[in-house]
Amino acid sequence: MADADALFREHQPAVFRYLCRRVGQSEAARDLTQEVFLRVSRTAAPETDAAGLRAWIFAIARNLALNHARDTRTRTPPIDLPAAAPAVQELAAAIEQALAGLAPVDRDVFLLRETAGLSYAEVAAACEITTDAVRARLKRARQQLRETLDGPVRVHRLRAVSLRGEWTGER
Amino acid sequence: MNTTDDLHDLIEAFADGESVDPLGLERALADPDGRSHLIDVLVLRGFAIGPGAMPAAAAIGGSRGAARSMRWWSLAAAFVAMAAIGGYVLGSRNVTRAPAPTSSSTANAQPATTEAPDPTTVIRFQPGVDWTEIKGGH
Repeated sequence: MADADALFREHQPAVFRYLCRRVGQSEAARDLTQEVFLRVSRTAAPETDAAGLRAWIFAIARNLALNHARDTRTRTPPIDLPAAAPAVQELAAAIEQALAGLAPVDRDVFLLRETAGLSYAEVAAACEITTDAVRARLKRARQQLRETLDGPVRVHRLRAVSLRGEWTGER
Repeated sequence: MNTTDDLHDLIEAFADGESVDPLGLERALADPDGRSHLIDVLVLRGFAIGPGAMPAAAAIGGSRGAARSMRWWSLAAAFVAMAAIGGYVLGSRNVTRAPAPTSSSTANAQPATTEAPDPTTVIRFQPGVDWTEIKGGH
């Protein structure tokens, strides 16, 4: 039986990162993150390895994000970057729009991989699809984002990049 | 390495930390298109967790706030448990056990108060009004 407190400490930052991008509001993401770990603490964790537990936690996070999106469908999620420079706000809006243009499952696959760092197998388990489907959807999402964000990608190709995906631009 | 698609698949799998064929990777990275695609993947990754994804202040606040909330609940639960256990232990230590009654003390034992308290309400029943006697009845 996994310790809920240990799971919280280990996975909370990644869950929050994923939900932030998924729901577009840090306040809502914070509430949803709390809800994820409340459910984790109330539910018996599956008897599985670390990767299985991670996939289970992110499946909960994804379901809560889907419910949240359903409840707030009519409202446009604001991007909360109060202190950011105009150029950064513009880029954030472009990214938000590009992500919104992806098919819902493609977006989840992309975000679970890129914001939470899940492996293909973990993404597959969290989204209840096959690993091959993860590869295909990820490829399609990247292709679409590359086309939609052509301008910003060209600009940021000249800046530092990191394999871990650390943001090297302005905030 | 047959097509650009294969090359991109291999580069993406490598960037995503999946296991790849080293010879295939060597060839993919030797190709300018493969290297270019790797950079695109990393730039998009930066975008995914970059601006708009998680404002720095919110991230720190969120993480600390959630951890703090969790910690406070744990502390509160621990405090309640400690108080309950402490109360039980102190209570059980302070109880002075009365000696077992002897036969003489039992015989001479008198209740602390010999008079019953005054009644607060008196209910009177009258035969014929509140009950009726029936011959042969119980």
